[in-house]
Amino acid sequence: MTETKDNIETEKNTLFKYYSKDNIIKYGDIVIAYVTPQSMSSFKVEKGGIYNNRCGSYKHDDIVGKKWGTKIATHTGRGFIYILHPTPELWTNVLPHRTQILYLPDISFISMNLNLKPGDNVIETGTGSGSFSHSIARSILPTGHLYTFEFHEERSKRVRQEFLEHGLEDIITIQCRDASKGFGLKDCIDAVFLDLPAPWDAIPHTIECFKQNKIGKICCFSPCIEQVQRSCASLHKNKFINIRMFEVLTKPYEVRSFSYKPIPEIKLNNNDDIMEVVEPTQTTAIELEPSKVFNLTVSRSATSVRGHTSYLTFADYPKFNDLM
Amino acid sequence: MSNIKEQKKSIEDFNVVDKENYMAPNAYIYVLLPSGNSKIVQLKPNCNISLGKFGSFKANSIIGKPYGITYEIVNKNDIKLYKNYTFFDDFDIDGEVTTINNKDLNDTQTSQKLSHQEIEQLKKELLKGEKNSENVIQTVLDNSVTFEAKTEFAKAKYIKRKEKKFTKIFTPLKPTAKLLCEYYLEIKPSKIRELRIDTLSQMMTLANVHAQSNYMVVEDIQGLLLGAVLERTGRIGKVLAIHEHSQFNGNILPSFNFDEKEFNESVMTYSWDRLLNPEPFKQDKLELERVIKYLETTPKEEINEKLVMKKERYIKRIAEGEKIQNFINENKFDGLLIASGFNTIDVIEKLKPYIGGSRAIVAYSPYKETLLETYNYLRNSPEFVNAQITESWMREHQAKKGRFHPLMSMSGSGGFLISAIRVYNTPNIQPISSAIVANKLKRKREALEKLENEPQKKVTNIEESSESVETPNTN
Repeated sequence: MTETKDNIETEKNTLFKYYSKDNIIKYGDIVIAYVTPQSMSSFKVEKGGIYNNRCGSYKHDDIVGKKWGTKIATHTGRGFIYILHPTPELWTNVLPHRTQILYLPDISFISMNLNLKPGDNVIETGTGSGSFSHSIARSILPTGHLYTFEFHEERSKRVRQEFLEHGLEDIITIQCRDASKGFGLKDCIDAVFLDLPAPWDAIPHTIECFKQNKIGKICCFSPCIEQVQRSCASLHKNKFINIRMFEVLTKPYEVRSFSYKPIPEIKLNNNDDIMEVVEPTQTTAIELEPSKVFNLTVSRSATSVRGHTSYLTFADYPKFNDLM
Repeated sequence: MSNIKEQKKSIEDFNVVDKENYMAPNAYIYVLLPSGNSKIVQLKPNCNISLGKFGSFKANSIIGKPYGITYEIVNKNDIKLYKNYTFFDDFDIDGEVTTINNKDLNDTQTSQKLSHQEIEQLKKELLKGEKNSENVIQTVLDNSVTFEAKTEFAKAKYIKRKEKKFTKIFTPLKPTAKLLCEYYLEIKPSKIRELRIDTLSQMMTLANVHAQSNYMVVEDIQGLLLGAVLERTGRIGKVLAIHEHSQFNGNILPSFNFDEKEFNESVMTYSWDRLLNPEPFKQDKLELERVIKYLETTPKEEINEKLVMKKERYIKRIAEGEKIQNFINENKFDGLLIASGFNTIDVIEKLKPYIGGSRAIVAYSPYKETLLETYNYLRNSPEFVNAQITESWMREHQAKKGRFHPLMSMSGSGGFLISAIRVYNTPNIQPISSAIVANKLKRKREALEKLENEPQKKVTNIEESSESVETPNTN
């Protein structure tokens, strides 16, 4: 048993290039331990390693050789986890939150509006926790490149390490740099994403980065309307066009089953004069019309949902210097 | 001057290598018009392309040029570069909120001195190229009684509006999933099941669509979803589209301008009939045998040419189909995306064996009600985790200096998505939460049964049948 496991090579884990035909978990893989949507964490599978959660502990050696998505029991058999393959979004759920992160509707909408696709070259700043960097990398691989800039030195070091562990070093270049001083890139960028407290400082520097003879795409991500106003002014001043601003959110729904309460019925007794109020119990109501009481599937949005993340400002820079 | 006949050009006369960024002959283009409207047209060489009241232009004049440049139509159908890029943009038309008010403006029909006929005449002259748009706008302004009384902001807004009405400019853009989604939502929403761009974008993320992976797509929205997946995978990796009837209906697909070779290598279309049939090619093979037998036994001069072609067609069809079937048998897919009129539960039930572990499924519906039972199904299935239903919400804001506010009208709903992750159940582990859920369900089922078979049956011991359950560790 252990012999076959040793035969499974310890390969360098890559978040995206992992997908071997047999779909098997190997030593060195980073996995997501899924308990519930609210309770997930990640760890790296190592020889002899133990993963603990509140239900008990799990031996890494039990996981190796299993298919992704397999349910794994604790060694006592009392609790279980599902071993999921990390995606950028699952990773977002488990990463140590060092900064505010982007949520799925924003990630999706930005990627679509910047028209991210394999082969694109993208600038992102600031890197933050590297959450969106993973999503961008996913969309532009295998031939695209992400240049991400983080002002905070300690943070950039930590994220660089993370990219390395996830096998993303060929796709992502991270630099510790103040974006308001420029990016040091020329005529090679398809799209720019600015998640900065003062995007207007960086906007003028993006122009030289964009590819020639193409419309360069930009997105500014700011939580406050005052930031949006200053960004828009800067975009306009720097001759960006089609300035449009959006908010996107998703509303999660809870699904329940619902049964109506029956109205009390009044029945006449044998003796016509005396009336009796029959308080229907659940059972009597079911006896009457079972279909009406059961099987009503209803849904409602949660009492408290996310109401605002950030404003998304998009604009185009037509860079046709050669032709004009 | 326009009578001089231009030399006819064929596709080979245009040398367009970078079809991603430059307009190739016969490519589809998305034409953005000053009115904010848009049009999708094919650039057939030597053809004239009409933009309705904005005039027309020759396809040859823009083939080979990059996407995204703005042109103005001059004379009858000539074009020149339009350099005033801020045209589309009225960000700071005197942003100050002034104190001038509208107390002297009355709602009458007399503020424009030009009659309807006179304005129509101006439009005709403009279209013929006898007048340019600036003349026309100036004439309209000169004849407006109330124009001078307007605030600077209102004046600028008025001019902008007239410009958008009379200026003959257009911008050819590369049709992307985003533009096509917006376009069809505007003109034929039911054709794409009212799928909105933010919802489509979320499907790409939820299914983790990226290059070097294989996806399964079930859609009947004219190929919009398939096209969006192909755009995101860059045609690197396979996409299997399952369809009803004899072939996949992808009316929108040509507009994506995918390279034919890339497209054919990446896309497999397969019918439900074949997929669900344990012997998908039995019928075709029998038919082929019959044809071959006939051809062998009939003298050569009596053979119909069509029948030989039919034989070839069968051979090709079986070969292609078997290739797909082999791919399906040998590979697990990295995601399932659904936007169809089928019952989502049925689709998931039928296709889940083909979806790899830890891979996502995502289904779209314009109606939440159609997804509620799917949600219950996914929640109770041991083969799925992380099931969720979401509705997408999107709001655009006016972004103008000093006048930021949400737009006065918005889309009421972007529709609903249901998503979940496929997992492998290990039946002998049944602890904690799932045991509790299972017990709950069991009790419910038994309660129902009890009601149906009133009244004699007793509830059987719940613990009895699930012996493997360890003491539930309630948290």
